[in-house]
Amino acid sequence: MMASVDPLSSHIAVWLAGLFGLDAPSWPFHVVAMLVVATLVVLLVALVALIGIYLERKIAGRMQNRRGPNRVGPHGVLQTLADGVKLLAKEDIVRAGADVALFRFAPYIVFVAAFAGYVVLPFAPNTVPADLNVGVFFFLAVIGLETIGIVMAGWASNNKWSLIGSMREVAQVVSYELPLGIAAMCPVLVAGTLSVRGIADSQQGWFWNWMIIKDGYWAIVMVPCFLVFYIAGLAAAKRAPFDLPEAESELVAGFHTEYSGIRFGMFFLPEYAVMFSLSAFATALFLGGYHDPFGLSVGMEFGVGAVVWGLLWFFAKTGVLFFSMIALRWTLPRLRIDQVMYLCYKTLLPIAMGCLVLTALLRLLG
Amino acid sequence: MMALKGWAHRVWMGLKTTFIGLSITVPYIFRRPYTLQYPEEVPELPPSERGLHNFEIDKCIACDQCSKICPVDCITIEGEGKGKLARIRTFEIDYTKCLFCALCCEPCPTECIHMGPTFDLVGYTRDEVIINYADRENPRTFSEGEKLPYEIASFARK
Repeated sequence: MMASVDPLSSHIAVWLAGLFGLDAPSWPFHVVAMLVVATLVVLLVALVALIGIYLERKIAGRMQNRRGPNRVGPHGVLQTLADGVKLLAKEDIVRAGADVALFRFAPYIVFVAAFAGYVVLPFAPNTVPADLNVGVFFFLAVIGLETIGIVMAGWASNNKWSLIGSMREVAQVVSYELPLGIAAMCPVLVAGTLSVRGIADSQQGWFWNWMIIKDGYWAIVMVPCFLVFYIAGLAAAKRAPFDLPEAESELVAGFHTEYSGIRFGMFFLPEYAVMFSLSAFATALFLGGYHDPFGLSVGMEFGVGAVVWGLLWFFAKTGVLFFSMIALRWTLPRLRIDQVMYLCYKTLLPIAMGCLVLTALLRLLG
Repeated sequence: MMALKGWAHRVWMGLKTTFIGLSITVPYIFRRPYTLQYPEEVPELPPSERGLHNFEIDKCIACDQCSKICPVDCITIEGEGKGKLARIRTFEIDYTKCLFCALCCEPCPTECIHMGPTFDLVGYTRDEVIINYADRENPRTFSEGEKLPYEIASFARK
């Protein structure tokens, strides 16, 4: 069992206390440092959404022989920012007949759930907002919380499309959460820890230390396991082909049909935030986290260089998964709700269970 | 056992078809988009394009032939003088009516009216799309590209 690392805020608190000539930081330094980390994470979420939405529109355009946004800023890079400002300036409409309190509160739950998932993500060596010893459980639980916000939005809107959308989300959640959780258990069994940072650190070294192809023979279990996790993750992020709660061609906009202005933005932004955090989580669990594939980080001393090197590989691997999610959205048609059920219960769940049993056996024997 | 085989086959086909789909869509990312950035880039039109008219004011003898043949009566002509000495004063084409049939070009005895390549005429009012080609103070000028089709047309008629 590896010892857990200090949260990022305590490193910052020590550094801040050092500026004032103190050896050990007192509580005000810790509070300030925690606020700094929280701000950094919020900024990261916003940045990920801004870049993600731009990339999505650009890649979608290119896949359809279009150019995508190219009017605001060079190559349209400021388009998302302009859209954000537009959303802020728009009227916040609460329709007649809506449950006002629930209607107003729902977007916050969705946003906070997407944001809280970032807490356990290992971005670089010793750079974890909080290295929880139940990190994997925490992440899966918090991502699942989003559903409550969506059901609230669908119910409070008093609109048949919204209600159908949120009902589909519930039906989807109960089916994808099982394979998602079980697939995440396999790396946990191999690494012997529930800390996301601990799992990422157990894969240090050459790329055959990565969970997905650990020592070669683990690939038999881990490749299907990773695919199950990835597919269930797509469903968790409500991405096509699992975007049934939104389903713009059938349900107008699904659960956020009645939302306008920044409250709509608070549904739109977390979609990309969740996409990114799930990609990052899959990276940490299966693809070696922030470690480079050539074992260069093994003897590296902790410092700015190591953090930048770690961040580089973290964003590179996460970016590849993020891109594949976008590419899949513009490739596959949307499934029907019964097809989602079939896929999750009859295909993903048996595979995930088989992987878990095999992992346990391999751990016992080897 | 058969059921399990069928299940495995469906799982395999699901994965396989997804990758076939991706292998079609992903290469498109690296292709050039077909979109034309219209106001900045003008499309290349065939020389036979029937757009706004090209009118040669000095050749016109105000014979009213084009106005008579026009099926929607969009040409208004006023002239002064008689016979071959006649000179045009107003030559208005109402583009709210014009259907770009090119019938007006056929009967012209001096070959002074042709269909040009310009297709984008815009205005805030209907009056702005009624063009007087005989306005000697500010005549409509033609670019090199606009002259080409009329040269081809007059060559074809010889």
